[in-house]
Amino acid sequence: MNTDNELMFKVKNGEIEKLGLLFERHKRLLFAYFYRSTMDQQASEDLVQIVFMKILKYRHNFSGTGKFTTWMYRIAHNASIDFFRKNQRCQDLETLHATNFTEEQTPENEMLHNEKMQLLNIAMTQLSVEHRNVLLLSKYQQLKYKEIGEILNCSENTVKIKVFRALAELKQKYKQLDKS
Amino acid sequence: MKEKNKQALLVDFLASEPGSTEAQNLRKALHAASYTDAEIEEFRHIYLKLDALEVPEPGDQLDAQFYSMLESASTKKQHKEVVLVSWAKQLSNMRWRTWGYQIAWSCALLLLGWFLGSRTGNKESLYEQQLQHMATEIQNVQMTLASTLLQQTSPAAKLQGMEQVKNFPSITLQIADALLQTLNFDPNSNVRLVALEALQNFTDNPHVRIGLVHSITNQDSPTVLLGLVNIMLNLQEKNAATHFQKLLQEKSMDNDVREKIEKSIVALL
Repeated sequence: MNTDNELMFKVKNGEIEKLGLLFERHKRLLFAYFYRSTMDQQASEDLVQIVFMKILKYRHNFSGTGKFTTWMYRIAHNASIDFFRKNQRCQDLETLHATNFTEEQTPENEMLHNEKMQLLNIAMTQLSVEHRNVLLLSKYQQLKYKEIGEILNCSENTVKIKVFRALAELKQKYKQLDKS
Repeated sequence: MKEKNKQALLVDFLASEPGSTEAQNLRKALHAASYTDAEIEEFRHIYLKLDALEVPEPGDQLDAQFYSMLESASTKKQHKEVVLVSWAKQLSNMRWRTWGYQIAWSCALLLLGWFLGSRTGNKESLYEQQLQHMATEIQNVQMTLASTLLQQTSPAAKLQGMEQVKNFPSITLQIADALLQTLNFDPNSNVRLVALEALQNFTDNPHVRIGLVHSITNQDSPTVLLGLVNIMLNLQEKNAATHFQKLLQEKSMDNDVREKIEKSIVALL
């Protein structure tokens, strides 16, 4: 089986249909990355599409010195920053409850669990884009701190400090929401 | 220990396998760095909670949009190639065929490459990358052009295509097939001979080697046959012997050629 880098080199050399294989390999994780950040299915699908359009557009810039996923998440990270900058997005707490919360049919303990998860989701959306992205990259995207450093253009140790600060901020936001 | 190092240590602990020796050692180090168990657990709690956040599956719309985008990009690329080929054809139909014009055109291309490269700044790696990209693009255009010329019925166009092929470091399957087709079936023996000359540059390609062996029984021109004999002897292609024997049985030919083929059969066996 071809590695991601081998496939990307084929795309770079004109076999652009090979991008389909890379899309199939990474679409779910990439979608999850954007979904956890935006809590919006449509926006997340659009962002995945944007990432692959950029991969195709800038395929000649892929040097292969690092892993394909590092390059891809650098594009995804920038797409996410652009998205929030353009939309000045702020999650509406009421809407989130209304759309995802099925109070009437859920047993009590499951309802409590769901409520906690909703609060955590809301707390995530209230983090700064920088904190949210570093947390998502480190927690869910199967990337090493060194790779995240390459994506964010900083050292491995700085990534860990950013993760710590993101967690501290998340903890604080979650507590505040839980109290209210 | 500095505050930042303590924070990094805590993140290492959170990412470590719970209950592992590494986790135990990191917890000890955190204690030494004045973290209490309550503080550590508070962070661990929120960190583990993140695992439970659910994500839906992406919708079918994502696949549909992506593949439509890919198809559109693929069509655009093919269109670009067709435009390049027709552009190159138009150029070849003008008075560009003389050597003087060809050399001038090559120099202009080189200068254009140098100019574009020098405009891209001082970063050597970027420059090299663009130069390499340009060389690949030019080679792709040349291959497409040669392939188109080889498929023409005009002997002049075929000869032009084959002259170009001789300069390539390697050939595509499509070009190899076009050359073998010419070698086997072109009515003009001079064209067949040039096809053979072009093919002998690529005998390291197994497809070409097999094609050459199979073309033996299709030949009747003495010059082409003698060319094939020399190539097979150079390659020490034992499979060619049976094809030469079959040829001797089925076709009448000049005595000198027959003698040369018989000798080559002995040498090959």
